[in-house]
Amino acid sequence: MSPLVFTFVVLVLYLGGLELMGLVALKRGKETTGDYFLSGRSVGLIALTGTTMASLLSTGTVVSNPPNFYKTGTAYFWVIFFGWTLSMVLIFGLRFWKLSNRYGYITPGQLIGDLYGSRRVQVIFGLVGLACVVPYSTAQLVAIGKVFVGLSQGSISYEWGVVIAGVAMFVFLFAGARAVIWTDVVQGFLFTLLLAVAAWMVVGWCGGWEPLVENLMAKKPEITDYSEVAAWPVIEKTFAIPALFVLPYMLQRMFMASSARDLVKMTLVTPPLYISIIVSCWVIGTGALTLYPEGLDRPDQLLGKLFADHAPYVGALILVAAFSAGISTVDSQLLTAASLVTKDVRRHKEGDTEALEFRLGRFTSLGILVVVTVVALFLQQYNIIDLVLLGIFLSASFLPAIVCTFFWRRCSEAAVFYSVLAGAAGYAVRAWVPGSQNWIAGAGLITWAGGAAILAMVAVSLARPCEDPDPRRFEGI
Amino acid sequence: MKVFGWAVVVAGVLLQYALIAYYPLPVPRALWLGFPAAVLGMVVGLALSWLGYGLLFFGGLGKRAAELDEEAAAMAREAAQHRDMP
Repeated sequence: MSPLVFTFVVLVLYLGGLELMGLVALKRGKETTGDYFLSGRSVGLIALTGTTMASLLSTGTVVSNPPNFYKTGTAYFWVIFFGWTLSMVLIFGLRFWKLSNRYGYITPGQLIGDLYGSRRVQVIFGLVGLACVVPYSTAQLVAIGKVFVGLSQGSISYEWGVVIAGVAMFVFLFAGARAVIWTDVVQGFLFTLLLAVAAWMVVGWCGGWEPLVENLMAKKPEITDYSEVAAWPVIEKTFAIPALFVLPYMLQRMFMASSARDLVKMTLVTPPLYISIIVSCWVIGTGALTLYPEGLDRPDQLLGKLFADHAPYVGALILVAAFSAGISTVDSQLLTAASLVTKDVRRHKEGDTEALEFRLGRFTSLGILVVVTVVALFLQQYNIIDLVLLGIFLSASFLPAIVCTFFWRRCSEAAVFYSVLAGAAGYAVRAWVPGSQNWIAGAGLITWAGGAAILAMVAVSLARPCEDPDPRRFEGI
Repeated sequence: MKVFGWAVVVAGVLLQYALIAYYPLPVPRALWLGFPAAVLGMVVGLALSWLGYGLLFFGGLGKRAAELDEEAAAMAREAAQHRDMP
């Protein structure tokens, strides 16, 4: 059996297994929005950890991190900062869990909007949330298409890769959050394991651990430290840690937990898993320096080349790992996008039933899937990192609103609304106004979005403070 | 314990920031257990934060989370009783 046929067989078996899980989840589902979007708020520790890790990491984790370590060396290790993301659970996650559990909120916008009795706050959270999530999920589909080209050595085209991913997710999105979470758990643990196996194999190809690090220290000692990252443009990216946590699909993980104890335990379980994934990527990337010391024409396709040259059959499993990492992020994002449309943006009418909202939610998530799949087909030549950064950096607009809602009594409805709006506007100016990168030296997208949101929050709260805050905002945990 | 736990978490964050922002002061270009010191330093920073979470959990946060679960269960029981009323 040729490596290409083997790749197809592995992929078909893997997809078949996932689709079967999706169908079983569909049978167990109830036709309510709480069940469709949040799996009935019954997600236990293992599933919660799996789906949160799978949502936190993406195709880029598997496909981009090893080449980035190969090109940049240890300096790229700043990504381990994202291991801090879930520490936000201890500050905000429990508050979100408690309120959503008590009042039945489905989206973060519903929760914040209700605390201020404000429809426009809910809508702005929904719209900015969509602007974060939809381009991000499109970028993941583009990455999956490129993975198919790279790891099948061009045998599977980009377009087929995108279409396969779109079709695979159809069943998950039809079935809802339960199918997404079940498959996330399998995929999250699978790609963690496969990355560790890949790292172990690379060490073997280098002749062992000692030759690997000795070669690194002898030939490329300059890439074993952080000398090139001690600059604001890199340091400001660490602000993406809380921004990543307040992405709507990450916050919805807090709503899904079956208990507060599981949420807290999850913060204990995830850092070791995260460390193991990033260290695996570092080992693969820096190990490749021993195997390809002269560099590569296309370092972005490092994984494909590594396995094509040394273990073509294992390359099929790595393709599955990269595919898993992408799918498990996209399906969560699309489900969340549908909930933002259905619950936050759409105006509810008298007489709307739960059954109607459920059907609308399902129809919307499948509709968004079709749109992002078609759009992704035309984006092969684009740098996907811009779309990914749009998602994460734009979500910094939410941070002052969420922090001040729970910790500042003066924070008013108007302050929350204008803060999110100003954050999005600040992001747009920095992203699309020519020359804006020189207005504030070194400040990138996240500084603009977060900075504008903070300024608006402080100014409006001081000018129009909240006179009668909802006591639920300060209940604590 | 709560304050100490948060102090350890913050110490982990500061260690990681110090490693990146103030290089090369604390990070010699050397190996620890075969890893470059920079890599291991970051891992130690994150592991320190992990220890902080543990201290917070066993220092009262775990108990508070259990109380929140009890409150939620009590509310669910009450809601079920109301549903069952004729």
